[in-house]
Amino acid sequence: MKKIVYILSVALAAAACSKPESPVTNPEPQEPVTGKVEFTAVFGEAPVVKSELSGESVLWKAGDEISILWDGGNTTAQADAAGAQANFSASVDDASEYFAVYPSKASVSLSKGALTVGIPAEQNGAFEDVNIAIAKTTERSLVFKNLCALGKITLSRNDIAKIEFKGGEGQSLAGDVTLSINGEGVPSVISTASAAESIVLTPASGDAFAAGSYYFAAIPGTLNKVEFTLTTVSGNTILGKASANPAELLRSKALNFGTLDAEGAATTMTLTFDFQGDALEGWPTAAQAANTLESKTVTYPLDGTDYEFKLHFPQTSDTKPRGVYWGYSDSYGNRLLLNGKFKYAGIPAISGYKLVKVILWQKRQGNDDKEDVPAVAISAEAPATNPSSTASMNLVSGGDRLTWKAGLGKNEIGGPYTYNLSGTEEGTNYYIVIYNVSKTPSYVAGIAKMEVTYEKVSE
Amino acid sequence: MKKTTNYVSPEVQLLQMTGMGILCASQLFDSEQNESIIENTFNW
Repeated sequence: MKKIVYILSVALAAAACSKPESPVTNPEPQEPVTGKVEFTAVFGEAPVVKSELSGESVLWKAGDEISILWDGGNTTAQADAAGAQANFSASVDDASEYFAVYPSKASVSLSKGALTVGIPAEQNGAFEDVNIAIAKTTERSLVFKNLCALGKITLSRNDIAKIEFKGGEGQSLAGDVTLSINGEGVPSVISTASAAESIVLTPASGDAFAAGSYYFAAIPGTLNKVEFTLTTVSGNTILGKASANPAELLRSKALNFGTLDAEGAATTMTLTFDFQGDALEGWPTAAQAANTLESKTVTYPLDGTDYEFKLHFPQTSDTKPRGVYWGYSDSYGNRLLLNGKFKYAGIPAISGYKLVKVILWQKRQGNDDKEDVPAVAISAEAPATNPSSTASMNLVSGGDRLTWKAGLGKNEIGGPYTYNLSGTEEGTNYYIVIYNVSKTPSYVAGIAKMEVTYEKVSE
Repeated sequence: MKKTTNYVSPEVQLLQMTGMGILCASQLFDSEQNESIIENTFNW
C-alpha cells in the first residue's frame, strides 16, 4: 500500500516540474516532495574531544538505522556506507517538518509536533546504542543533536553480568521523554512518562561484560548522589560503589565514573557462600572426636578470590564428637554444621572493610532438631575455652541470639535470619556461634548459605 | 559547517526511465556535523 501511494505521489509531483533533471549540482532549495528521498546525514565530523572516546566514534556505520517521522507517518532508513557522512533512503510523505532519531531501536512517537523518545531503563553499555541523537528539519537539513547525558564506566573484571545505576530518591534516569527543540535543534526534556529511577546494563551477548569501558544514557539532570551495583555472573559477589556527591549529567557530555571494580574501589561488598553443594577441598566433612578437636582455617574461592573461614571449636565437656564441618547426609544433603555449644565459624575478614551484615539460611542438621531450637549469634571473638556462661559471651552489637526454627522438613530452608551489625572493625574476623538457652538444647545448627556484607572503611 | 550532497536514488532513476514521472530534482537533505561529546570526570 505504501508503495502505491509513493508512486502516485511521485507522478503528481512530476507534473509540477518544468523539466527533467538528472543529478544536479548546487541545487536551489526544494520544497519537500513525496516519494523516495535521500537523507544525507553527518554524525560527528570531529567525533570526540577526548582521546578516551576516540575509539567510540560517532561516525556512521553502514547499516546504521534511523527513524524518520513526520505528521501522519514514520519510517526507517539505513546508512548506505560508513563514514562521517552517509546516505539514507526513505519513502516519506509531504510534510512541513521531519524528525529523525538515531538509533532506530529507540521508541519514538510524534504527536502535534512534539517528539517523544524512549530512553530505555535497560541498556547494553554499547556507545552506539546509547548515543541517542535527534534531528528536526523544516527544510531538508538533518542536524543531529545528542539527546542524553552519557555515563562512562570501566570494568577491570571479566565476570560482571549486571550493572545498576541509581541517583537520588525520586530522580528519573530513563523513560519516555517528550522534547522541546529550540531553534538550533537542541532538545530539552519537558516531561517524562514511565519514568525509571535506575538504569540496568546487561551485556548484548554472553553472560558477562568483558573488561573495558561502557556507556549508559540518561535523562540530563543533576543527581543528588550516585550509586552503582555490580553483580557477577554467579550472583555471589555484589559490589556497590556509591557517593553522596552530586553528579551533573549534562546533555551531550560523558561523565566518567572511572573503574568501578578495581580492588578496593567498592564501597560495599556482599558475598554469598553456599554450603548446599559438595564440600570444597580442605574443609572438614565430619565431626571430630571430642579429644581430638582442632581448629582449622579453610578457603572458599568465590569469583576469583579466596576467602578464609576460621573454624574454631574449643573443647566441649560432653565428650561427644563435635566441631564445625561441611557435612552431608542422605536425608538433608550438604550444609555447614556447627555442632556443639560455643562452636564458631569465623566469617572472612577483608582488609579495608568491616563486616556490617550477616544473613543466614538454615538447613536441618538431623533428627535432633525436631524438638530443639538452635540459637545462633554473631560473636566478636572465638575464645580458647568455652565461655563460662552465655552472659559472658562477647557478642557484636546487633549480633544477638536469634532463635532458629525447629523441625524443618527435609528440603526446607529456614530463615533468613538477619544480623545488622555495628561497631565492627575493618579486617577483623567475626564468628557465627551456636549456643542455646532452652531446656533441651540440640547444640547443632545447619547453615545452608550465608550472605555477608562489608563496608569500606574511610581512609 | 553546512554540507550538501546530490543524489538520485535508483528508484527515481527507474521512474525516469519508465516515464512515470520526473522529479524536479533529486531530493536533497544536507546536514551539519553532530556535536562532539566532551568528557568530564566524576568526583567520587
